[in-house]
Amino acid sequence: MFETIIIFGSIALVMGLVLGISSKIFAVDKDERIDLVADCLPGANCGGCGFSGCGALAEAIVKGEAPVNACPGCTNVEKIAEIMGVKAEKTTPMGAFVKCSGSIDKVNYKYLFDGTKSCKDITNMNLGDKACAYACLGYGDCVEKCVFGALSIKEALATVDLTKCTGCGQCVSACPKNVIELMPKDTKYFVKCSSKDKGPVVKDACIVGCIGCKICEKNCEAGAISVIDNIAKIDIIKCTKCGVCAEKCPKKIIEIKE
Amino acid sequence: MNNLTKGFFKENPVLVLLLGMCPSLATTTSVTNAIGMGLSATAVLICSNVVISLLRKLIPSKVRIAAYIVIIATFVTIVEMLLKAFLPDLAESLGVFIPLIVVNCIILARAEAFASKNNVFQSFLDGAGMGLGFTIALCIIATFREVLGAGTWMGFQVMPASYEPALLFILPAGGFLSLGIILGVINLIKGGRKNG
Repeated sequence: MFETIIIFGSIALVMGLVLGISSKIFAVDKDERIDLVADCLPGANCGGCGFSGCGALAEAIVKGEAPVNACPGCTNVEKIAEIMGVKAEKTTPMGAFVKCSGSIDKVNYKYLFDGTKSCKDITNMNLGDKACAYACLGYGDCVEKCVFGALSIKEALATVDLTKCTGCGQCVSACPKNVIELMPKDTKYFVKCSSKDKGPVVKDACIVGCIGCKICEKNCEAGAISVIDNIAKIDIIKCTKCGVCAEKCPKKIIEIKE
Repeated sequence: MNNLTKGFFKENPVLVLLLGMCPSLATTTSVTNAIGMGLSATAVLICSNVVISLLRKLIPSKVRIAAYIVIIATFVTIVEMLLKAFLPDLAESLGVFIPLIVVNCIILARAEAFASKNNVFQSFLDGAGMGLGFTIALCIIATFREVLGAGTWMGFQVMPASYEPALLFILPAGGFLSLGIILGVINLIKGGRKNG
């Protein structure tokens, strides 16, 4: 037994030595900045940057293939810029906004759905259970996708907690109805409806839908609002945040974010 | 000399002994990969055969498998580091199959069946022969798959431009099909000789 231990031990020792030497000879130089940059990233691997994960983005930043502010949810842009020796450009933090107000008490239902709670599945069944074909279905496909826990469903309507939202855009692609849009987090006024149906159709389906009445368009002094396809759209660049539109809207669906 | 050449055809590890099927199926999607895999395994096989043959009288027979694995794993790790340092593209495309050479049964089988019983020079020849036999077999399978599945050979276009590549042969299922067809042809040749 003693013999076995000695022989085995010496084989292991020699092999260990050989490995140690060869790891020195065949060492691959890895840019140490990759690890430093990766430490600054959130590590949520949300994919909002377009790379397969935080590690891949760190590599791309160090290689110069991605800007230092490529991560939409990063709070350490200055630190990354410092590691890379460049100046960080100021970015507008983006957030997800749900363009629908049709909560459970405000929208009519076409049928009662009692199956798998998945927006994607129910979209295939006559465009969902809500009478409005553009409405947020509220079965939480977006909630499932959000790695930051910023989304929740309240009264069959997706709600975003902007303090947690990083603007990665995973919810935007998860939503089969395309009711979620990325906008700058400081957006004050936005139209909380996506319906492209004409006024009477909207009225039948939902009491809080944009009917395309153009009152906001006419009252906007900055000319920032245009009604296209029966839905008002606010140009956030032109918007002066005066608030007239929200006041005049007969359906009160131009939401004021404080 | 017989110990060198027997690996090429008579006792070809893949095509006749049917050992090491996993890398033979997984890494034969292109001839470049096949050569990379074959030569890596050959290098490991030669080194491990030589060292095990050197130590064959020292290694206690009860713990020999563990000792073999330690020796084989050392050389596989060296080969892996070497590939990563000098051929990063190849290392990337072979991926996990390089570390998996450790458990390649050809290497363990040669250590157990040959190197532990023969002298260093014969073990070296055996390792080289078996390794090259493995490489040849991989190249045959990979040629078959790459030409049919991608219309290329080592990246060069060999089929006419109008040829529609049969992607199936690059996919895993095509690996099994190709191996089956090639084994069938080889058995046909061998059977023909017996009958003749």
